[in-house]
Amino acid sequence: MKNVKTQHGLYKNLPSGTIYNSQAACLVFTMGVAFKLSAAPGIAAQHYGSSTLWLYLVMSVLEVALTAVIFAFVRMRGDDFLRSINDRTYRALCGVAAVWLTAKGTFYFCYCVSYLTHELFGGVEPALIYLLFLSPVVYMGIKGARSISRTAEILVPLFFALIVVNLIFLEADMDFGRNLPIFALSPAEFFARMPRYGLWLGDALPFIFLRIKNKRLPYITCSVAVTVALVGVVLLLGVALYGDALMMVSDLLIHLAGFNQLSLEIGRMEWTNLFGVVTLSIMSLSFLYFGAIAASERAFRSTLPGKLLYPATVAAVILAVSSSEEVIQFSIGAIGYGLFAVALGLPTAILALGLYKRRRYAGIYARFDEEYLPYPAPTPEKPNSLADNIMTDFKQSMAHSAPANENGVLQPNEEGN
Amino acid sequence: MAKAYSYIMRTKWVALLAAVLLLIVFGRTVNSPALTKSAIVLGVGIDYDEDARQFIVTAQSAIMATSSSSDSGATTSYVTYTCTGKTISSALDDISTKMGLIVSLAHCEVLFVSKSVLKLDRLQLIYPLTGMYALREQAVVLTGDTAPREMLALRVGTSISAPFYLQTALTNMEGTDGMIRTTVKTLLARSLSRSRAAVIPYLSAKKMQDQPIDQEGEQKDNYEFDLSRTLAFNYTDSYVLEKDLSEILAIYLSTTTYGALNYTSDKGESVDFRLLKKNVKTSAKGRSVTVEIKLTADLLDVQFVDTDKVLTGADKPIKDAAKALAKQLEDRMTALYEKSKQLNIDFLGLQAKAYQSVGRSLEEDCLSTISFTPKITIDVKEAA
Repeated sequence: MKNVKTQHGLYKNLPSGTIYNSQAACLVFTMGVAFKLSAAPGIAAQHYGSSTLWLYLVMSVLEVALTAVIFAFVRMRGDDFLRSINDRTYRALCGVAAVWLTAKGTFYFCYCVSYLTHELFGGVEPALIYLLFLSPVVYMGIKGARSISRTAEILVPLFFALIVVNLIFLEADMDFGRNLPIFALSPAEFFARMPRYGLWLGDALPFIFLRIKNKRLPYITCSVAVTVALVGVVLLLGVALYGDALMMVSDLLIHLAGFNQLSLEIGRMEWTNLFGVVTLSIMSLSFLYFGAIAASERAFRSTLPGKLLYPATVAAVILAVSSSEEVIQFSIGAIGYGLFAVALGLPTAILALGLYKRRRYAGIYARFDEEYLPYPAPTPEKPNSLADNIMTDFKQSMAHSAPANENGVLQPNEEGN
Repeated sequence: MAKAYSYIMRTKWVALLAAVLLLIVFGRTVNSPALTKSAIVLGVGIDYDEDARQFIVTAQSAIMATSSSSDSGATTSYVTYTCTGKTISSALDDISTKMGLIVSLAHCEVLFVSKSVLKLDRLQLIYPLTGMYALREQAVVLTGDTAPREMLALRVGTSISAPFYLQTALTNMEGTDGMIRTTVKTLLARSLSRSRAAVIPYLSAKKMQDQPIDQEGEQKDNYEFDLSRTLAFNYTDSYVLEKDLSEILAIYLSTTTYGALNYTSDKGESVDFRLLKKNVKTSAKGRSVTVEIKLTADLLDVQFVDTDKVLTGADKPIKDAAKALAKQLEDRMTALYEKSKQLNIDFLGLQAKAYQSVGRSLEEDCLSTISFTPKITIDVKEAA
C-alpha cells in the first residue's frame, strides 16, 4: 500500500490496524451513546427509580477509569509488544476477551433488536429484523476497525449535532427534583445491585488491538468528556421528564426527540434520533465484533474462530430464545456480576501484564521497533541552498529579470541581484 | 477462493448490491401498510364497564377521499367507531376490522377516558397505546361528564371533529380559564410518583344556543365545550374542581400559561390582567413544602374604577389590584391544599416533593403530615 503524506503531515493511508485519535474519539462517542442512552435508562429505572441518574454517574466514573486503563495500554503499544514477545498469558487473556466480547456483542445485539423492534419495525417478522441488522454488523466487523472508524468519523458529528439540537428544542413538563432522593434504595442495595448492569461497562476494550496515530488536538480526552457529559445531561432530563415512569421508555434518546417543540408544528420528530440510534448501534456492534475477531487472532493465531463465533452465537440465540427480551433479562441477572467482573478485571490485567513485561523485557521494549528503521541509518545531507524553497521563490521572482545560462542556473543581472 | 473472498470484502458495490437485493426480496415479503390503507385516528375514547369487565373503545378517524366530481379534488370525512373488548387492543382491532383500515394512533392527539378507567393500572392502560399503537406521549388526556363514545361524536361549532377542537384548544390556550393540558407522559409521571395522583380537564358539553348557519340554512346539533373544570384523582377517589380553583391549579401545574386573570373588588371595580410570564418554584424542607409563584402580567382592561385619567400598570389602583389579586390567588391555593387534604388526593404533588427532601424514609400516604405555604406575587409590566 502506498503511504502518501498529505500537506498537513498526516498519512493518507495508515498502516493496517492504525486509526487516528479523531476516529477513535468518534468511536468512543458511538459506544457511549448507542448502548447507554437507548434502552438502558428504562431498564435501570425499573429498580433504581429516582436513583437512576446517580447509578449512571457512578458507572460513568468506572467507565472513564476503564477507558483510561485501555488507552494507557494502547499508548504503550502493549499489543504490539506482547505479541512480539509471544506472551502466553496475553494470548490467554485475549482468548477470554474474544469470548467476553462475543457474549457482550450477542447481549447487545438482542438489546438493540428489542428496542428497535419496538420503535421501528412494528408487526414485522423478528427473523427479518435479525437478518437486516446482522448483515451490516458482520460486514463492517470483518472489514475491520478502519472501515468502522472512518464511517464513525463521517457520521458521528452529524448525529451529535442532531442530538444536541433535539435537546435545545426540548419542551415538556420537567421536574428536576425527580432526580432526588439520591438513594431511593438503601446504599447497600444500591451498590449491591449495581454490578448487574456490568454489560454496559468496558465497551472500549477493542481499542487495545489498535494503534492510535495522534493528530494535534486531544480528541479522545475531549470525546470522553463530551460523552460522559451528554450521558449525564440526557439522564438528568430523562428522569426530570418521566420520573418513575422512565421504566416504560424503551429508548430514551428516541423518546426525547418526541418532545422537540418543532413537533407541534411539523409533526413527529422521533425519526431524527431514530436514524442516529440505529446507525450508532450498528457501528458499535461492528466494533465489538471487530474486537472479538482481533482477540481471536491473538489467542488462536486465526481470525476464523472470532469471525464464526459471533454470528453463530446470535443465530443460536435467535433459534433458541423466543424473545430478545429474555436475553436482556438474563444479561442483567446473576450473569451481570460475571460481566461486571470481567469488564473491570480484563483491561486491568492486560495493562498490568503489559507494564510487567515491559519492565522485564525493557531491552526488547526499547528496540522492538528497530527492525522497521532503515538500515544503515540515514545520514542527512548537508544543507543545500539551491534545494530549499527560499531559493526557489527567489528564482521565481528573478525569472523575469535574470537570464539563465544553458544549465538553468540564474545569472546575476547588471545590478548584481 | 481467498481471492474471491478478498474481492467481496473490498468492493463496496458488492455490499450495495447485496443490500439492494435484500430490500427487493424482503420488501416484497413484508406486509408494510400503505397510507391509503391506514386510518388516521384523531381521537380515542376509552370507557370501562366495571360489571362486564370490558373496555369500550371509540376511535374517530379522518378519511381522505379523492373525488373527480368535487372541485377541490379531495374530501375529508370524520367517522367514529366504537367496539368493546377484554383488552384495549382487541377493541381497537375490532374497530380496524369494521373500518377496513389499519388503526394507527401515530397522529392521535386526544385520549378521552371515563372516570372508571382512571381507577385501573395506568401503566398497563397507557403502555400498549404508546408501544404497539404509537400513541404520542404528548397526546392530551381528558375526561368528562358524558361517555367517551358520545363526547367524541359531537359536532362543535368551529369544527366537525371534537378531538380536533380539543387538541387545538388545549395546545393554544393552555392555562386559560383553568384549562390544564395534561399529556399522557405527565399523567404517567404523576401517577407513578409518591403522590399517586393527577389532574386532567373535565369536559362538559351543552348545545349551542345559536346554531351555525351555512348556505343550506341552520346546522343543527352543534355543541360547545366547557374546559374550565378539572378532575383531580388518585386510584380510589376523584373530585371535580370548579373554575376558580382550576384557574390557580393551571397556573401551578401547566408548562405554559396563557390567558387573563380578573380581579373584582368589593366595590365592584374590575381589572383584567393578561399573563405574560410565570415562574413557579416548589421547594421542600423536610415535610414543609413552599411554592413561590411569580407572575408577570400586563394590564388588559379596567372597568368601574372611579378615575378621570387613563390608567396604566404604573398607577396605584392597578398596583393595588395586582396585590389584592395575588392575595386572592394565595387564598385559593391554600383552599386547594385544604381540599386536597380533605379528599386525601395529593393532586398538588406534595408527597412527591417531600419525598425528594426527606428521602426513602418518608412513609406512604402521609399527605396529612405535610405543611404547605404558597407565596404569590404579580408584577405588572407593559407588554411589547
